[in-house]
Amino acid sequence: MFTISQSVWFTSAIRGERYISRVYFSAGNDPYLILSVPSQHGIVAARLHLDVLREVVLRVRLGETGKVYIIDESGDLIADSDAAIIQQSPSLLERPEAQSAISGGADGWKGAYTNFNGKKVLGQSIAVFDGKWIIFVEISREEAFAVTRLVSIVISLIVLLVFAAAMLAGNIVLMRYIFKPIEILRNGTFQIGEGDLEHHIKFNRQDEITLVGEAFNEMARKLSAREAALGETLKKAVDVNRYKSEVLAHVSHDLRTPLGGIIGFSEILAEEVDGSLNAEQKQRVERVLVNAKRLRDMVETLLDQAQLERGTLHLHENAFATAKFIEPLHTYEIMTKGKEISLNVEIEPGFPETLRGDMLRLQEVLVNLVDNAIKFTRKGGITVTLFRPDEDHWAFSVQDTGMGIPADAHEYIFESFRQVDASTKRVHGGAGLGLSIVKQIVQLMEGTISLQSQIGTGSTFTVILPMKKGSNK
Amino acid sequence: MNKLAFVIEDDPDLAVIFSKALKSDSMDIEIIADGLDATKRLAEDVPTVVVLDMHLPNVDGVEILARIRRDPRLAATRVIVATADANMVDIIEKDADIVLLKPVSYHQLRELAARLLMSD
Repeated sequence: MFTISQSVWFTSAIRGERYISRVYFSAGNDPYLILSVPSQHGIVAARLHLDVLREVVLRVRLGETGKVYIIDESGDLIADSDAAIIQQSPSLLERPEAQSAISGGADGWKGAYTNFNGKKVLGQSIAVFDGKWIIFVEISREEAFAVTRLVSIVISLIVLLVFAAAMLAGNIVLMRYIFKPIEILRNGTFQIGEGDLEHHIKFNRQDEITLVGEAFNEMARKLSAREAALGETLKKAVDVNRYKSEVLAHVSHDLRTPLGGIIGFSEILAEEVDGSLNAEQKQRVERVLVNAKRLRDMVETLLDQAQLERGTLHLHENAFATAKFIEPLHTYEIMTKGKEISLNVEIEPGFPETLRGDMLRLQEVLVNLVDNAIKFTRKGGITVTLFRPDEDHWAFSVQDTGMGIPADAHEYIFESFRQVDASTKRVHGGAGLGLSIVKQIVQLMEGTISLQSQIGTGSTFTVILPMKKGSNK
Repeated sequence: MNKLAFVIEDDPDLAVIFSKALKSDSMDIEIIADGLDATKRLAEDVPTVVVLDMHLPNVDGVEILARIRRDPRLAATRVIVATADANMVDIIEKDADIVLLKPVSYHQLRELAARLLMSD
């Protein structure tokens, strides 16, 4: 029975000697050899495919006729820049240049001779791996003598030989110690990149490469832990956001009741239902009322926002009278009285008397736009127009003669918590949610809202909504 | 004989505000803060107008509204529902004469009540 402990590569390495086998041929006729070296915890053995050698000999170029080949200590050709020959593995032991090179030892040998291909060449050899391999570099005599400065050719030959030897030795070392671990690392990186954070790599050795491997595994472990932590954080963030919306909804809801009391009693006082007030008292209570209503509007807005975020803002569709829809505008007639602002409502002739949709939400949109228009108009008029842009839609627009909205603000004016700029915000107040909510509600109704505006001449917001069945066209 | 109005509302402040909004020389107003009490009073008397809160102790507003609409004696009774929950609107709309979303303004209620009673 064959055991590893009887192999020469094993016994040599275990004795502390480096071992390089002769060239074998696999079943597929690929040349290979066995390398083994002693290592800190045993031995490292490798089966080196001689394709590497082929690459070495093919890469080295010298003139037109330059040739590089390698023989082993028994004289067998193991690599040749003419790759076809190596398959036949001819023995060059009988050749004088081979014998000279073998007996020449580490210092190498050079001479003019007829090589195994029958060509007259100038050649130089060098022994590598303790004389186990000999690298030959040859150039045809014709080419060599055609060059006037022969010396330079010889120097080139030497340089070439050293280069070839270094390349060969380098390749073997790189193969075993660098390329393979790099391949393993590359593979590991690929696995991790694909999301397999459980992938760990393992080297059967004990050196710097192993340390890299351990660092790599540590990285994978940390990545895995971090991903878990991120997932946890993300989940928390989602939970917190949901919780925030819920709290917002509850708080807004609970704020409504006491606000109802404040507004109601202020109205009763202001109306002097329970007796007359002096001018100053009346003014004070009206201020209470104005502020309480502002607070109420903010609460309403926050509640809407919370409902929109939670997806619990549902539309309640019904048929309603157009006249009823615009009813809230009457209160503005009172509000704008005494100010330099007028409110006009224009209904296009032939506009339906009955519409279909969520009237309360539609009123909210309308009131929000009119509020906005009043807020930004110091002087002039606000016109609300109801019209039919086409057979399948109805629309209303709110036009003001206010300060106008700069073109670059048209996009973000519909975002949450945005007004044109911080300074306007201070003057006009508001959480900046109004237009964002208006847009979201309009979208929920499958409608569109658009803005035309010019600085100094005013703005027009237009809401276009689908004509639902049940409206009388 | 004066007309009768029930303000069925468990928040005492809102009950007072609603009462003030409905108040007139020809209207007697009764505040009821409990759902069960409301059903008892509705079985005894026939109010012209009822202002009804939805969230009430013992018997809720939805149930009271349904009872009013089932009772032929109360066929002419006008019901103004005040609710803070917009999602309730669908459920109660067909039975209520007017649905007001809280917070209900004193002005709003007074104007609506006046219009409602005037049309009778």
